[in-house]
Amino acid sequence: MTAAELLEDEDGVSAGETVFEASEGNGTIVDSGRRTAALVLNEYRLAVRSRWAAALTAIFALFSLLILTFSGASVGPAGFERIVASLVNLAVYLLPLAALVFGYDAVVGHEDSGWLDVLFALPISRSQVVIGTFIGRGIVLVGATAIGFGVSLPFLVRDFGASVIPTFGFFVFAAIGVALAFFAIAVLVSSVVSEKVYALGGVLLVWVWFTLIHDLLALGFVAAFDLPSGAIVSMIVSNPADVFRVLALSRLEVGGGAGFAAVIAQTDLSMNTLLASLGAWIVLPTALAAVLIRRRRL
Amino acid sequence: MGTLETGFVALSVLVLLGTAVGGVVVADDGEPTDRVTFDPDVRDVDSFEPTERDGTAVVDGTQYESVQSAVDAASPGDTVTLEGRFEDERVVIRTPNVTLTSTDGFAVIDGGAGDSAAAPDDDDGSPDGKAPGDDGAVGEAVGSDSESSNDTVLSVDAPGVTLDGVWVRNSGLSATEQDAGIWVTDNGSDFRLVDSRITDITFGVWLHETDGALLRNNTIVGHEGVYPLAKRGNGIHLFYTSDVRMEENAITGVRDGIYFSWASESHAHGNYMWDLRFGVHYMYSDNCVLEGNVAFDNEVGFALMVSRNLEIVNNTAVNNTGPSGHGIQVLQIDDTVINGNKLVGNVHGVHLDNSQRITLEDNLLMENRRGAHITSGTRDAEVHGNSFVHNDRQAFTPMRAQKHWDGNYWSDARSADLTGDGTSEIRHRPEGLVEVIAYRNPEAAVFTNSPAFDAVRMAESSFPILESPGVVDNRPLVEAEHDWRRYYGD
Repeated sequence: MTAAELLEDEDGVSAGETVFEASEGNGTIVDSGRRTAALVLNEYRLAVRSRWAAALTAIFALFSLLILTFSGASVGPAGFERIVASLVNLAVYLLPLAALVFGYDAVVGHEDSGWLDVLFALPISRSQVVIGTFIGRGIVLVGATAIGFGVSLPFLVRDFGASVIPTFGFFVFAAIGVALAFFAIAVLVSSVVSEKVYALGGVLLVWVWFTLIHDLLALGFVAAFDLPSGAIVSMIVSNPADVFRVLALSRLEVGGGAGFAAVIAQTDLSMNTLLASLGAWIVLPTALAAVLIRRRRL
Repeated sequence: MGTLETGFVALSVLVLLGTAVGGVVVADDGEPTDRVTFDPDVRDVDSFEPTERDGTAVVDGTQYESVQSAVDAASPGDTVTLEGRFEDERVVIRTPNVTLTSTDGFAVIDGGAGDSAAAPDDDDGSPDGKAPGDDGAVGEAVGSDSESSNDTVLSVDAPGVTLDGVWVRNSGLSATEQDAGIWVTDNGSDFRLVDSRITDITFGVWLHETDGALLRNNTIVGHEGVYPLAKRGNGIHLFYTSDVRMEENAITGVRDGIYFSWASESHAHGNYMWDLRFGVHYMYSDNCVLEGNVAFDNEVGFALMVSRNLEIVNNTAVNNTGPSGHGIQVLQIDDTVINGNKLVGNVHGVHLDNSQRITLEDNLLMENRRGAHITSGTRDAEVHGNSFVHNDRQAFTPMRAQKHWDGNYWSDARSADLTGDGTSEIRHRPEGLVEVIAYRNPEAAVFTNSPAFDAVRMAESSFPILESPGVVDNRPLVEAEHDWRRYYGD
C-alpha cells in the first residue's frame, strides 16, 4: 500500500488536501492552529489506516488477557494485586518497545516518499510539523493502550468487584504516560537521524538502555558507593520506565510490589515528583525535537 | 472521516472516561484487608458471668462461710466442695492433698482487689505507689521470696493440692508486687489445676520453685484494661520449676501467655493464646516441649530466648504483628528443633538470631512479610521440607556466605521435574545479591522487580558458578506438603 493510496479517502478526497486547504489562510494564529489540526488529523488517519491502531490494540489486549487467563486461580484482593503487578512487569518491557517502534519513523519515514519535502514547503513551521505528528500519532497510541489494557477491566470487575477500578485505572493512565514518554523519545530520534535504519537502531538502543542498562548501572552504583539520599530519586526520575513501575506498583500492597508504598516512603519520591517527571519525559523530548528539526537537511 | 477512524477515537474516549469516572465513583476505600482468614474456635471470655449467690464451703458434712476456714478444717486428702461466690477472699492452703471443687457451675473465689480500678491510676507508677522503672523487667526479675503478695487471691503452700472447676478472680493490679490469681510456693509440688477459670488477675498462675504441676483446660483472662502490656503479668509464670504440664488452656489479656524462667522438662500442649505480648516466652529454660499450641493476634507468637534443647513442633502462629512481630522468635537458642509449625500472616515467620544448630523442617511459612529471617550470628541451621508460600520476601539472611537450604517448596520458584521424583531440577535462589543490596540500602528496593533485578537474579540461578551470597535451594520441591490454601478462606 503506497502513501498515495493510504491518503485516499473513501470519497476520493486526499487526506493531504485538507492540509493544503488549511494552509490557504492569511497567517493568523487561528489559521496556524487550523493547519496544525489538519496535520494532526492527517497523521492520525495515516496511523489508523496503516493498521497501527489495530495492531497495537491487539498486542496490548492479547498480553493483558493472557495474564488475566493464566492468573485465574487465585482469588481475593491479593489475586487482583498480583495480576496488576504482573501487568506492570509485562508493560515495563512491552510498552516502551511498542511506543519506540511505532514512533521511530514518525518524521524520517516521510522522507523516502517525499511527503516531508511537501510538508516543509507548506506555510507552517517545522516545529508545528513535529508537534502535529506527535499529537496525531500519539492519539492512536493513547487509544491503543487504553483499549488494549482496558479490555481486561470488565473481567477484573467481574472477578474482584468494582473496588478494583481506581487501582486499575491508575495503572492504565500510568501506562499511557510511559507509552507517550517513549513515543516522544522516538519522535526525537526520528527528527534528528538522516535515515530510517538509523532511527530503528537508535530506538532499539534507547529501549535496551532504559529497560536494562540504566537500572543495572544504578544498582551497581548503589552497591558500590555511599550515595547521598537524593541519588536514588534522580536515578528513578531519569528513567521513564522506572517512573512508570514505581507509579503503578505504589498502589499495590502485595505480590511484586512487596510493601512497595513503604519502600517509596523511605525515599524522597512523592507522587507529584513522579507525575511531574513523567510529564517532563513527554514534553521535553518533543520540544527538543521541535527545535532540532529546524537544523534538518532534506 | 472513515468509520474506523471515528470508531477508534470514540472507543478510546469511552474506555478512558469509563475508567476515570469509575475510579472517581468507586473511590478507594483504602481499607487494608486481611489477606489471611483465620477463625480459631476459642472460648468467648466476654460471656463469663460470675454467680451472685453467697458462697458456702462444705467439708466432711460441715458448712463454712469462707474458703479459708474450710481448708483449715480439712484433713489431708479431704475434698472441699464450694458453691456460690466468696467476696474478698484471701486463701492460703496449708493442708496437703486437699481438693477444692464446685458443685454447681463455677464457684467464685473473688479477691475483690481488682474491682476498684480497671486500669492503673497513673502512667508511670504501679497503682499501689511502688517505684516505677522496672515494669519491663518484672517478669524476668528474680522473685526473691517465696511468699505471695497481699493481693494474691489464693496461695498453695502444701503438696498435692487440686483445684477442679473453681473460678479465681480479682487479684491486685501490681506486676512488681507479683499479684497473682493463684500462687504456688515451693511446698506446693504436684499441684493440679483443671477445668477452672482465673480472670481479672495480673499474674494468672505463678509456680514458684515447684515441680510436677499439671494445668489443664483452664481459662486465664488478665486485666484487659491495663496498658502498656508490660504493666501486666503473665498468664502462667514458671519460676525455677521442672516437670510442669500445661494442656489446652486458653490465655488472653495478660502480658505473656506462658512464661518459662529457669523452667525445665516442661510440656505445653494444645494451649490457645491471643491478644498478648508474647504467646509463649522461654528464658533460661532447657529441655522443654511446645507442641500443638496456637498463638494469634499477639506481638510475637512464640518467643524462645537463651535456652537450649527445645522441641517446638506443630504449633500455629497467625497474625502476630507487633513492632517486631514474629511467628517464632529464636534468640540465642542452641540445639533446638522447630518442626511442622504453621506460621501465617506474621511480620517475620521465623526470626533466627544468634542461635546454633537449629533444625527448621516441614514448617509452613505463608503470607509473612518475611518468611524466614536469619541473622549472621546464626550457625548450622538446617532448613528443609518447609513451604514458603506468598511471603513478601520468602527468606532473608544478610550473611556473606552462600547457604544451601535444599528441598523446600517455594511458591515463586520456577520448577521443572524431569525425573519425576517430586523435586525440581532448576535450582532456586530465594535471596541473593540484589536482596542483600536492598537490605544494606533500603532505598534501592525501589528497583525491586525491575528488569535489571530480574537479570541479576536469573544469572544467579542459571549459573551455579556464581557463588554470590544468600540462600540457594538446589532441589526445590515441586509441590507444597502443606494445605496452605485453607488460610485464604473461600
